Amino acid sequence: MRSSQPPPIPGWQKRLRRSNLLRLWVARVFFRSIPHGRYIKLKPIGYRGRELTARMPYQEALIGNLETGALHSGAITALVDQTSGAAASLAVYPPSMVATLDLRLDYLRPAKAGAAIYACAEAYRVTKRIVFVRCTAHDGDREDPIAVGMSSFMRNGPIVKIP
Amino acid sequence: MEVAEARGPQLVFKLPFREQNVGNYRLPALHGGVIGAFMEHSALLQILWNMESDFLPKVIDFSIDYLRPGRPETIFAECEVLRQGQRVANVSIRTWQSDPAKPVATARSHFLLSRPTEQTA
Repeated sequence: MRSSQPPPIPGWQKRLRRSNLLRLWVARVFFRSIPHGRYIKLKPIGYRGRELTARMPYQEALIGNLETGALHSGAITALVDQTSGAAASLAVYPPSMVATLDLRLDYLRPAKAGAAIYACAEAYRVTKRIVFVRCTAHDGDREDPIAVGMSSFMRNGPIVKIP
Repeated sequence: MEVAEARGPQLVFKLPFREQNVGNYRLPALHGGVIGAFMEHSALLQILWNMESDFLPKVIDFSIDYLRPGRPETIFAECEVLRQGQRVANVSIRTWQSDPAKPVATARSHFLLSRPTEQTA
């Protein structure tokens, strides 16, 4: 029985597969490779427990309402889309490209003028073909979100079980 | 982004390709967030075109279905305002590139059209 099973995975490789720091580094490389992400200055700042956090600084070029100075909701869409996609591709091993199937966003309140926006995207369910992600966008206080998003992604890479 | 044509009340929007709108440089493909933001802004302008108000409509929710990757070329959008009431509007948006029969993404959205009145508070 045992001889037909694949050889055991060495401990260092198991640790690498679970490493949050490695995934944050991959996310940084990934974000730098996306021209639009560079244009709106997105940067991943943390990865923990299948949740990726990214930051978008306040920029005058992205203002949607000149009276209040609030950012355009489209900028938040781009932030949530990219962070959720990255969280989905990091939740699978090895990190691989995913295709967005759908993205739904609820805008709870306008963003505060002058505040950077954070997006916390958690891949809460990973199946053989699909990754489900929920994302919260806030401007400093996670308990008071600007927008929440739900999205699903199709996996394109090989299917390897994380030990 | 600009208005490509106006068929009566219906506007067709277009977003010419720019290098900074790329989301995947290997395919290459447009950034999903760019397509989403383009659709949101198209819907907003269509509502403003339809109504006369000094209140900027606010997006309540936005649900995008991505059907195929956006190629690095001009993208068009058309919005259908399914219901525009006093307080809320429901809009469905469709985007395509060279072939109008092949949509890139579709979306459905709600917009808040007026300030809450003080009487109800």
